[in-house]
Amino acid sequence: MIPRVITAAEWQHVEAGIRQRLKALNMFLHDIYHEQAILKDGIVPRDLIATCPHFTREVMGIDVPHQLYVHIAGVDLIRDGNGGFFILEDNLRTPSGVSYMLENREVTKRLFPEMVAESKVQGVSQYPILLYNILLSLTPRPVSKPTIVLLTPGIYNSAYYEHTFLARSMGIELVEGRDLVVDNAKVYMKTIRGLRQVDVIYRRVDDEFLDPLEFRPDSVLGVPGLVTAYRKGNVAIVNAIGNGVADDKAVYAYVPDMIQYYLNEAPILPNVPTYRMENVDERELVFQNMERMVVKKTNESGGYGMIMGDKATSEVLEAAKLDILADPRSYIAQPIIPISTVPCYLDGQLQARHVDLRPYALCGPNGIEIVPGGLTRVALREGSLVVNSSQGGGSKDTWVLGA
Amino acid sequence: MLSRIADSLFWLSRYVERADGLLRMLRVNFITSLDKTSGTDFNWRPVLTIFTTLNNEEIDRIANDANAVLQFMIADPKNENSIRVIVTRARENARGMQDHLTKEAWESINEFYHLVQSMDVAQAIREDRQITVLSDLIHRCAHFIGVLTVTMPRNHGWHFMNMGKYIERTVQTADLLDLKFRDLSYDLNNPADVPYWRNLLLSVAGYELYLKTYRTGVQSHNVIDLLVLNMQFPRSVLYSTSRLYDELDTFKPEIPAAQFSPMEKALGRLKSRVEFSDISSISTMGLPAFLSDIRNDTLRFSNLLSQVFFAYV
Amino acid sequence: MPVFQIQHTTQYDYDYPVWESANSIKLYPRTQEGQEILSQQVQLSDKEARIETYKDYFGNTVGVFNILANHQTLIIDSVLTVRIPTRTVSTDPGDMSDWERMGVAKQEQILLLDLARPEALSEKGQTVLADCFSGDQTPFEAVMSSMAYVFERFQYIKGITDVETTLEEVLSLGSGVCQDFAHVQLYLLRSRGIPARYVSGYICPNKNGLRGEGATHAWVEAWLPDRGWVGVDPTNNVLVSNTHVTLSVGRNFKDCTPVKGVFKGGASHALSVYVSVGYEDGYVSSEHNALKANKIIVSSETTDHVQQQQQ
Repeated sequence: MIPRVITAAEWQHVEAGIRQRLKALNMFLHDIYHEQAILKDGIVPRDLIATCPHFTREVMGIDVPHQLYVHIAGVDLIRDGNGGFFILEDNLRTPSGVSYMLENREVTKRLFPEMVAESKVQGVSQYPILLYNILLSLTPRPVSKPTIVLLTPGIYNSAYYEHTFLARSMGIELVEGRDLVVDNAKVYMKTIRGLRQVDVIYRRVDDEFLDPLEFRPDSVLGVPGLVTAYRKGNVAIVNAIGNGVADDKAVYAYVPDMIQYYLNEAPILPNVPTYRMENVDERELVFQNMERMVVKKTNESGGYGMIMGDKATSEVLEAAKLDILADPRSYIAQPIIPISTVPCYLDGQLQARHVDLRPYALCGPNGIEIVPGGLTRVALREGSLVVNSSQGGGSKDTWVLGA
Repeated sequence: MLSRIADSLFWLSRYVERADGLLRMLRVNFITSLDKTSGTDFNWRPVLTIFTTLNNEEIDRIANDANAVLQFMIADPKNENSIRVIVTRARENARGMQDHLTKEAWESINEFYHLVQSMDVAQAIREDRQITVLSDLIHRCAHFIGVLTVTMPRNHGWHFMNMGKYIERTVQTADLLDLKFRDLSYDLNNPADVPYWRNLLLSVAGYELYLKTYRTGVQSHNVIDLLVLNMQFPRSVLYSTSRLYDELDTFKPEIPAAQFSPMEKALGRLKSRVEFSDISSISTMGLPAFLSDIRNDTLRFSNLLSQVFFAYV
Repeated sequence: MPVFQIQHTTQYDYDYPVWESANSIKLYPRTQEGQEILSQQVQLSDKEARIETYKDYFGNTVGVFNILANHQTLIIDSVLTVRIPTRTVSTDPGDMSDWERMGVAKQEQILLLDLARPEALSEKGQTVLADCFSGDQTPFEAVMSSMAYVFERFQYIKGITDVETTLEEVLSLGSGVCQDFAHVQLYLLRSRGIPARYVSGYICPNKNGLRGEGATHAWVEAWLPDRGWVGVDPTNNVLVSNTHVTLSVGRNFKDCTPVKGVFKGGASHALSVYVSVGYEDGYVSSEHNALKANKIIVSSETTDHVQQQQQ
């Protein structure tokens, strides 16, 4: 209930850091699916990309509108004991949770109306309009009212509520794969008035389920032939297909280098130090300090496949070592950071809980906008550092104060 | 509007109408089955023949066991036409398009579903609460239909729901007539009196209207008049097809004539078939043939409707 | 410079109507190393469907088309005239330094890394193949010896394997057809670190006794320093010269499937494939196969929407 407060100066720093990072990540994605200069120049190891399960060979060479791959990012930040911000994850595929950000604000506005006004808390409610405008700007057809849809996996998806929420707030159609069909490399929506061409798809379906003809043939959530329409430039897909190669947890370690390489700038926001388990020296270092490390699988998210070295039993740690040795590419380790806490009103009293921060960034042809605020995710269990909602995390509103 | 949404609205409404019709029919027949004084041997064979897919042998097994019939027709998940299955389907349709229903409408169908799922029909039968169970379920249907009426916007979706409702009702009324006249070997001049028709009339909530409207004449002719031709009676075939016609008409400006006219023709054919018939023409051609024409016309229209609006390509 | 006239007809028959089918075809010869398409026409049973083509990751030309309306038959008919250069195949063994140069080249291309990664195989499977190589072979010699190894160890028997048969199953059967021979050799080469790719195409031996006459064929290309891609046919134990027409290449059969697709509808179906090869001397060989049709996947459980909802 109690909002988390960030000052205008702190926010400016975070905003600049995210903007810089997403600019570099977009350039990386374009590069990796075209010339691969960053591999040729030896900045990122070729083998790391070749072994990344989300490196999507099917979209090699496809040109996307405005060379934009990441339109929506949910960047996870943490603060250490000294208050410094670190980037923890980039989440460039189908980040969720933005509806909580919007709804948390509605709640705090009702609870603390005067405070919101007096402290000049910056608004977040423009998010759906900003997103809608970006979707609009991607239309491949020069028509005055392009058809924009939100593609959901359907009612069984845990974020279905958010999908309906976003579709409604943007006034776009919420569709499932079976509502769409491809003909002559164009995508159509089946309506009571016949087929209507679709221009932009904001999809919340993962890559591998998007097109059974290209990816998993057993997927019934996707649209057969969709990638062909995408390849021909007849439909825009948001976020782009293949973004997972850039938010792989082992590739993450190279993002500061990417910033240096593509922008010739020093990173504004640092990474959390990350050890690649493929590197023998780094692996040895981690194995000797397991109790101070968190081990993560490189291609899992949502707090799955994660072992906290300080909490795990020695059996678990030994087993983890064997898993790592069997498949080092699939693991990274990071030092456990004493992340910051904020006061939470739980069971009738104020208690400190660990939090992170997930601002939502929108990248369009006119630049990158980060809605001032975001989702502050809370580890509800006392002492826990795991904030993912799938692991018993909660959330609270984030107030970015006006200057 | 997405075809899938239109399709779901259509079937949601159709399934609830089906459940409602079935439940009313079951309640009346169950009450009849309790009445041992009437002298006629009641059994469930006609009901089971028309409203289930059981074969002769299976029908014989339960035709004289009201409780077994209720259990089967209300709660058996293996019976494709049980209330349980129908309501589950209705709710599945609703669930995939919650966004297009009002909160009240969704809650109503969802509660209906949970009631049906959690209901212990066997236990209720042991406690002789059959009528309570049936009445509760009928109330659920009425609640849902009422909530739709007061909350749903009058847009395309509303028209699709109404079309689902009236198509279902047309077919059901034809089925019920068939059920009752089958016992009389479809003899339209049979001497069966009001008590014989009472059950049918009660199950379509037409008993009072019947008593007020028809004072003389051959009872079976009057029954046909009420259920087929009476424009004041909301379950008559003519009323349902007329309403269907109005609903379809709202789409006329929306879709190309090439797609609209076949539907309009099919429905026009059904409507004029009913409109221009009377007892003598029906008895000339025979009631079974007349009813089967109505069913076939309705099915043909329903298929066209689904091709144009729901089938996409 | 032999010229072949090839007709390749694929026909699906469904017992109930299907709709919204989406298909991907790899029936266009690669224009590589002098292989030249003199003419090609690909026709579909649905005259309104248009084929969109693009180049995939491996450089293959892929055609994609959709058929939305109900249909009970799908015919894809490719008629092709293609000229193959007479390649002179060098049998120079190279030397041991080729290993190192190959290693360097691999690090310079993700494609080569991809093609040098062997698929996972059980220990049992690995032991079956353990005695293929000796330590003193050059890469070229390893390619040749693995080809001979597969040719000698595996029996060519039609009909006991199909497109779904795994490498593991082929090893335990000890037999199969061209596709299985290719998969075994691919595993061997990759386990030795040699980039190797699956090749799908036609073999046109004109009665000279090679296996696979008059049908689609599969073989292997290995990447060697200086030489690039070298074609070897483990089914026939020959270096590829002037009897093989290449359609597509990839990691395995799945990357090269000539025809695949998905459709809606609950129908079961029969697949038949007809291939004929005409030679300049007028001789025509042909083969007509009724196949197990598992390349098309049913992507929808619905047959008839009206039916489904009513019952």
